[in-house]
Amino acid sequence: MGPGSFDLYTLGWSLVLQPMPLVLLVAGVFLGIVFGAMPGLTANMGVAILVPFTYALSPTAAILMLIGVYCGAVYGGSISATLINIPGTPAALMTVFDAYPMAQRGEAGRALGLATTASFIGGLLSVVALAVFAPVIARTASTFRSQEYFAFAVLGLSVVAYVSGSNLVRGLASGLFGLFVACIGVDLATGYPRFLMGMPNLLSGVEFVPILIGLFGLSEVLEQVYSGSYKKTPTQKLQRILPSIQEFATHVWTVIRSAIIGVFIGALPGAGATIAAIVAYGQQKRFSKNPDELGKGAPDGIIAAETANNACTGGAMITMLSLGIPGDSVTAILIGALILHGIRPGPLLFSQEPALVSSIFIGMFLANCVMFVLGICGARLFARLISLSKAILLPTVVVLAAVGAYAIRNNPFDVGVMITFGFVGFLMERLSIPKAPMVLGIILGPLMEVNLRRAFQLNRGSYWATVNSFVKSPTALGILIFSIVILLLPWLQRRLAGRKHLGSA
Amino acid sequence: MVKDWMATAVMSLAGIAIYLGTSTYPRVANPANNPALFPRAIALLLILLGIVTGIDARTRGEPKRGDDASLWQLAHVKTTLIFLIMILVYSSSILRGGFFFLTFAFLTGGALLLGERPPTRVLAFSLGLSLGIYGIFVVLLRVPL
Repeated sequence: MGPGSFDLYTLGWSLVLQPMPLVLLVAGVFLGIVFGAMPGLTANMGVAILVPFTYALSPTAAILMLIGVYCGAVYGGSISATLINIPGTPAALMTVFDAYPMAQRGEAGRALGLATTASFIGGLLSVVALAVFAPVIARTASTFRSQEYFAFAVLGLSVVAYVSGSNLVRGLASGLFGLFVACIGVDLATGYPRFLMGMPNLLSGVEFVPILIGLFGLSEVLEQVYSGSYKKTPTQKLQRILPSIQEFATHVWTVIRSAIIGVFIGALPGAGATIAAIVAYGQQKRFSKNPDELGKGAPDGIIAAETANNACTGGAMITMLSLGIPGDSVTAILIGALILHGIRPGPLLFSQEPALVSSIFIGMFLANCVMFVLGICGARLFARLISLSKAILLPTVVVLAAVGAYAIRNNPFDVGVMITFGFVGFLMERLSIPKAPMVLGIILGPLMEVNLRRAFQLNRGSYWATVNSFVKSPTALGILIFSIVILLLPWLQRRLAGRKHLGSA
Repeated sequence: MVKDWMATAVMSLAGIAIYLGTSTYPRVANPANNPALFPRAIALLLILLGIVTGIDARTRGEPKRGDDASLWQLAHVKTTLIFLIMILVYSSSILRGGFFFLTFAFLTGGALLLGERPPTRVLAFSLGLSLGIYGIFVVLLRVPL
C-alpha cells in the first residue's frame, strides 16, 4: 500500500460501493448493535455465529459484514449499559458508571447520544490510525524472521493471559489448551498425524469456526440457562438523542486522549476494548477538573469509555492485518473467517491483496458512519429490542450455532465439535478459566510452532545455536523480555504492595 | 477452593494426557523434524501451571462459606440438563428427522422450558423463526439439510 495507494483506494471504494456489500455492511452493523445491546449476547458470539452466513459470499462482502458486526457490537453494549444498568458487552463496563446515573436523572437520550457520538468519533480516529500505521507495520514486518514471529506470538499469549482475568495462571493454561488444539491433525512439517483419537475427521485439524461457535455461542447460552440470567429486564423511555456540537466541543481533549489510548491498547496483541475503556476512564479521572463527578452521571466519563472502546477496533485491526496476530478475541475470529475464505492476514496481505486491504479500511470507515446513523435514528428500536425475551432468543442461538457449524463443510462432525467446545467453554466458565486466550492460542499455535521449528531448522537443530539466534535478534529478545515482564507483573505488584504495607506498619 | 482444586486437576491431567499422547511418536534427533517437540512443551507447561494452581490453593487455605457458591448453583441444574439433552437430540437428528419440523419443535420446547408464556405467542415466534432460518440456510445458502 505504498505508491499507487490512491488507485487502490479508488478500487477499494468501487468494491465496497456495490449494492450487495453495502447491504451486508449495514445488516452487519445492525445485527452487531443488537448482539451488543442484549446482555448475554456478545460481540464474540455475534461474529462467530454469523461467520457461516458469509461462506457463500465473496471475501470482500464477507469481511465487510463481519467488520460491521464487530463495530456495531462494541458500540451496542453502551445501549443496555445506559438503559438497564447492564453492560451489553464487557467493553461497556465503564460506560455503566456514568450513563446509567444520567439516564436515572431522566437524560437517557442525552447519555445515549453522547455514547453514540463518542463511539463514532473513536471509531473514525481508529480507522485513520489503521490506514496510516498498518501499511508501515506490514512493511517493517516483512523483514521479520522466524524468531520475531515466534516472539510476537508469545507476547500475544502473555498479554491476553494477563488481561483476561484476575488469575494469570488460568489465562496461561487456557492459551496452552488453545495451542494444543492447534496441534491436532497432520503435522505440516513431517506429515505425522497427531492426536487423532481414532477420528479420521481430525486429519486436517479441528475446524476453527465450529470451535468459536461452541466457545462463544453455545457455552454462553448454557451459562445463562444455568445461572438463570435470562429473565426480562424493564427499559427506559428516550427523549432527544443527538447531542449538540457545543456540548461535544467541550470534551475534545477527552476524545483525543481516549482515542489514542484505545488505538494503542487495541494494537497490543491480546488486549481488547474492555481494557482500553478501563484505562481511558482511569486517565479521565486523573485529568478531569472534577474527578469526583465521575461515576455520578458525568458526560466525560461516558465519552472517555466509549471513545476508547471503539477506537480499539481499528487498533486491533492494525495488528491483525499487518502481523496476522489478533488484537483481541473478535479479531481472532475475523482471522478464522478470512482463512475460511482462503486469505491469510499478515504482511504479505498488503502486497498480495491490496484491494481487499483498502476495502477493509473503507469498510471500517463506513461501518462507523452506519453505526452513528443507526445509533441515533434507531435508538428507540434498540431500546425495545433489549426487552425481547431471552427465553426465545437462547434456543434460536442454539439453532443458529448448530446449523452454522454444519453449513461450513456440510459435515455433521463439525456440529459435534461445536457441542464439545460449547460444553468445554461452559466448564471453563465454571472454573473461572477465561476463554479468549484459548482462541488466541488456536490462532497463534501454528504461527508459534512453525516459526520455532523453522528457527531450529536454520540452526541445524542445535538448541544452543537457536537460543543464540533469539538473543542476537534485538526485536525478538526485546519482545520476549517484555512478555516475561508482563507475566511477572502480578507477582511484582504483590511484592511491592507487601513492602508498602510493611513500610506503613 | 473447590474451583482451584478442579482447575489443578484439569490442567495436570490434560498435561499428562498430552505428554502420554506423544509417547508413540517417532524419535527424531533434529528438533525441527520432531512432531512431539511442541506438544510436549505444552504438556510440561500445563503440568507446571497445574502445580502452581494447587500450591496457590493450598497456601490460601480453607475458603469462607459461600466462596464456591458460583460453582455449585443447583437452582437451574434441572433446566440446564433438560436443555442440554434437547440440544444433543436436536443436533444429532437434524439431518434425519426433518430440519424444519425439528427446528420448530426445538424452538417451541426450548422457549417453553425457559418460561416463555403464553404458548400461542411461543408457537407464533417459533414458526416465524423456523421459516426464517429455513429460508436463509436451505433456500438462500443451499445448505443440504
